[in-house]
Amino acid sequence: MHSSIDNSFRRAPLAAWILPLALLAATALLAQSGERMNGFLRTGDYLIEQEGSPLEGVKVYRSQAAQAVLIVAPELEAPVLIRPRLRTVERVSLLKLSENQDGSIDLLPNPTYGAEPPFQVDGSDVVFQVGGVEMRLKPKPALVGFHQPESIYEHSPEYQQRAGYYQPEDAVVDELMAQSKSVRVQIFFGTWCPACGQTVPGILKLAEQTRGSKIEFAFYGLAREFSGDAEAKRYGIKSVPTGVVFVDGKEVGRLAGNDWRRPEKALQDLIGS
Amino acid sequence: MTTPPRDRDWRFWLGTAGAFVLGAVLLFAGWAKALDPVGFAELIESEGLDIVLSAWVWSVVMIVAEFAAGVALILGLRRLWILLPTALLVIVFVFLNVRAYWRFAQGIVDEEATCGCFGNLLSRTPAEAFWQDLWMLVPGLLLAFLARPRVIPYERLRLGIVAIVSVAAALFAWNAPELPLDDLATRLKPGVEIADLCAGRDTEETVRVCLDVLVPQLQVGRHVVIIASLDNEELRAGMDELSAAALAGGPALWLATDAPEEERQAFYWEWAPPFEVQEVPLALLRPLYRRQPRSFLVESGVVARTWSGLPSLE
Repeated sequence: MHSSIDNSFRRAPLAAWILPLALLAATALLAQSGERMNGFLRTGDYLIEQEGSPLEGVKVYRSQAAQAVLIVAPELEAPVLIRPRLRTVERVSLLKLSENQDGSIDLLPNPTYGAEPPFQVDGSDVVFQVGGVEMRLKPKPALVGFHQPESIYEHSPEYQQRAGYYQPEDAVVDELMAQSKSVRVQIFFGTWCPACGQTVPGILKLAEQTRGSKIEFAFYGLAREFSGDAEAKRYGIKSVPTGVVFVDGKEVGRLAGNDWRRPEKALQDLIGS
Repeated sequence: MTTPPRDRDWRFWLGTAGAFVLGAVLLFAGWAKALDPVGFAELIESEGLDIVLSAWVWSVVMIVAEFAAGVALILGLRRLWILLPTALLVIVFVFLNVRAYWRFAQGIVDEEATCGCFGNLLSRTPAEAFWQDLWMLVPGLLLAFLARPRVIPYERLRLGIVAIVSVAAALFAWNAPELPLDDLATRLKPGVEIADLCAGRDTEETVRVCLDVLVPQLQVGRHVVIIASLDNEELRAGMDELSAAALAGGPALWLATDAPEEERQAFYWEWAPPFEVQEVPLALLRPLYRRQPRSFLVESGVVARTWSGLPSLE
């Protein structure tokens, strides 16, 4: 039995081998290009300029899994997909965008329909063309001055994503809600600062959970070079993130360094002291 | 039974004790530096002391000098031709610390920029480095000059031991970067909590910050962290493999680097890594490696394994 099978394999013509292999390879290629591209999360790192003017209402998404950037803007005829490793810029069919409940976007199989010239990196900008029009993906300027959480989330959506993951200790939140002193917490941060990106979402979540209490949170954004900022000078801010805590109008301490590990606990300690 | 020589009174024993203490301190300091001679060479270069010889050669020379002086003093070889070079060595260390202390006080360097005399095994501020070195080195040195013996029994044998130790120290220091000593030479080793990997200290001007605050995600689940600068050739050569491993699942991959925003952006547009590239200050990263890249596995906030180089993610 074994020997007859072996012999028939040996006698098979070359074409009989090549054809199935070619079909297999083609199927694999199709399957690859036909895969969903998942996990596009909004990023606040960029803005888009068209001929020197910023485009309004732009949303930039980045997917680690797809290793790609997706740009959605009302003024663009279609969303644009940039794949850095392939250096490609492609138009995406709107019908292929699938928005998830958490605001992330997935691309359905075979999402692209039009290839544009490869992008170029120009300093810190990425230059690409859509329909012959030059676009520039530029680092977004830092959020400066006093801002409500909503405008921080709009500027840096990553803050909202991370705030969602942080869970302040319930017992401490309950105590903070119940405390009777008039407390103001002024947080100095920089949207350019990676440490702020990791720590400030935690206190944004705390601010949300203590809404209605006697604790007021104020968020003050600083530019990368902030030595000349009047508000930073007024409070002697040397590094970000720093939270200045006032009880009944008097400063009682600061949130800094490892206090950000559990900001609700550090705040409770300061208010209680 | 032999009678002790007449010069062996209390002053002789005080001098011997001083020399012994100084010798022990020098040996420990030499050992700490010999574990990471590249780190010590970086310090020499940053201080602008790489004159005539390269910083690397100076590093090895200083380490050998510390070992030689340390062993000689412990063996009681209190000859002038040993004590004077030792005094020079002590003066150099104290001078370096005075300079670091002054520069820190003037705000010229970061507090953590000074590793002091003990390499990466100890984390000291310039002020601590100055005062500790002063107390540990100078009294012993002064006492070592006290009541030096005229005759030293078995002097040649003792000198032979010093010579052997010096040669061994030179060979060890020269080859140390290639030896698997990372866990011994740095603060990063299995069992360490990431909450204990910190830099700086809480003062009015500075803050202490730890790795779990900068990358809180490491506290939960399994993660592999690679420490590397973004232009590191080994990292770049391994990017395809790392990306494939990250996409295949398994522990979450992180690249911890002190590269500024512009470099991280450029890296993204070249590689689009399917993992996070997180900026961590050099002051926190530097004590964690002897050479880059270095990698470690974190399980629920505790270092479970380390790799010299890129991790094996099969």
